[in-house]
Amino acid sequence: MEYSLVKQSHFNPQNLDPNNYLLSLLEAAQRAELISEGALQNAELQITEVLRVLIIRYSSGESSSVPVEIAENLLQSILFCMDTVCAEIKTPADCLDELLRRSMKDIYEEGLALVRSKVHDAKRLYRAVKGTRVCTPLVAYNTTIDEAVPGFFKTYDTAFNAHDTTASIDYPLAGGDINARGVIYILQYLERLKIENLFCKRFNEKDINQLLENYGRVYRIDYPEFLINIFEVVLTNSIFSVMLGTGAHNLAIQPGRISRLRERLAGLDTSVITVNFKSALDHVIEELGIEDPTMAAYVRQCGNGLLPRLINAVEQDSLQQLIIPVVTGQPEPEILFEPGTGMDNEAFRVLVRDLLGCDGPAEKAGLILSRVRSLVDFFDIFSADCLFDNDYPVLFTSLGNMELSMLIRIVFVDELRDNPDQFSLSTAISSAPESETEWVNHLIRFLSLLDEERTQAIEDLLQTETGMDV
Amino acid sequence: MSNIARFISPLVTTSRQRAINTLVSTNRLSQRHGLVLTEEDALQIIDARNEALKTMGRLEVGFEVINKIIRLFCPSPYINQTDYANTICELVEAFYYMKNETLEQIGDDDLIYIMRDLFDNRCFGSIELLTGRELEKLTAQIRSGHYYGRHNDEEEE
Repeated sequence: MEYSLVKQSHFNPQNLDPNNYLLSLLEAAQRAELISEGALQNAELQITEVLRVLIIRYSSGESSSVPVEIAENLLQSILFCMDTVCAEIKTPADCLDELLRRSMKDIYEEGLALVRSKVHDAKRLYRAVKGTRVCTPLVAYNTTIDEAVPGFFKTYDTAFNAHDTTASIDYPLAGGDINARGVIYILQYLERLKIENLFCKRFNEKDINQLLENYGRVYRIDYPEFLINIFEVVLTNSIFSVMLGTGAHNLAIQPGRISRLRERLAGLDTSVITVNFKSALDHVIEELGIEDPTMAAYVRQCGNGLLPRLINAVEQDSLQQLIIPVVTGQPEPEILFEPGTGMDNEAFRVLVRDLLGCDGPAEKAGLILSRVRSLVDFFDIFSADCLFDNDYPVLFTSLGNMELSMLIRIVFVDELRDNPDQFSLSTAISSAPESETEWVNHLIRFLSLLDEERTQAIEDLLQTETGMDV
Repeated sequence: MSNIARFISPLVTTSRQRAINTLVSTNRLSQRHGLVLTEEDALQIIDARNEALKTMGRLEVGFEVINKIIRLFCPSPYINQTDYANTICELVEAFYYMKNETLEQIGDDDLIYIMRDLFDNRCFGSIELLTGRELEKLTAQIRSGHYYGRHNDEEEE
């Protein structure tokens, strides 16, 4: 009766692997000499017997052999179900006690039933997530809710593949990675997503979408296509809004206020910034009426994750990249060039004709930006003898950093390929020889006149992979 | 995962003596057809089975397949005592090979029956023709979706 020793032993092993709980617990118990090697082997043999039965069930009794990978997968499924039972037991000692008291088959069967009931729980939770969703054009958010999670429920196989988490869940959550598998992963994901949704529900949906649009404009991205966490963007501005004295519900922060906050925080000690920030976070929770302790803890955990970024932003003087300001004026053009959308010959001829009929550089630039969507067409315009010397600077001025970085990649293709990490745009510009191609000379001249900040921003884009496969 | 092997190995390591006894016990049926396995033959077949499972990356629960192959093939007029053990070894290898190649779409009993039918009626006892021609044809049929299952159960014992 080895198990009678367990409860008296204060057995409490550390570092048990949550994704391999039962086996790591049994091994720890054996190392602690609470169970004999024989008892451990007996437990393992019982699990093998469960596996034997499952292999036969898997092949519907028609085959006595299966590929080894299938057997391994079935074993993982068994252990996952058993771990699900273990996870419900408070302490490792209680769990070990239970494992020694009962047969492995019994625990597996309870685990299988538990996993099935968790699938029902997850489906209920999914309905709650759908009911609280934010109306947004964010693609990853929408496809995760509308396709990936239902897809998981359609394909999840509790009997033979309970540990599997095959689902194309792209939308990232603010609370970090979830270290779980199977239905437990989905449950935790949906629980967090529901909290994030309920948090966002405390704000005006229009304000949230305006904030996301500003986010896209600050980072010069087509934001609906990017993996942005809505909750985090909203929480960030809400906290800073409190720090600025404009209230937790306000998400629209004027750029001037960010400058003032930057000045206010610049000379402060890190510990003072920390106190200010934590107090603002407390205010957010209070002002938004967050009483549910789970939600409050989640908001606090994610909010605290912003603190190192704030301290860094104060040190680096880059607060304007952490807080999303209200961006006024005409929206900047979205990324001009799209793959595979070249004009047909007739449309191109019409464009050249219209360009030759334009009154001045500004009109030409406007026409090009409104009609050209392909980088190839853009280059063809350069060779179509329809631009004059004074047209180029105006055209380049109307391009964003992303478009300019695409042109730079063409011009400095060798330098970027040979030494991508050491590439310096200003050095490349200053050492570029006179080109035989007219537009290249104009571009280099234009780039040489840009201020340091913009040059740096373009250089940063050149170091990334995004949108660069031209 | 290192855990896997220690759960799987008890499934594949049947006691050798028990396996030998199981195979030798098939003599009760096969000797009616003039075929007998010695303990040495049984060992040879067991080794061939283990090697085939290893090579094909398969895991078998129990020892039934060899029994079934012997029971179904021993009435074949094309097997004689001289090459009995060798033929069983080759059939066992062909069986596991086919389990993989047919993408798990044919159950053990059906596959053994088909092999016996082809062995007797198309290959006239040539194991080379069975493995090299007929089973490849069967594989192609299954992979192209033109296999509709077996139709004749008369000869099954």
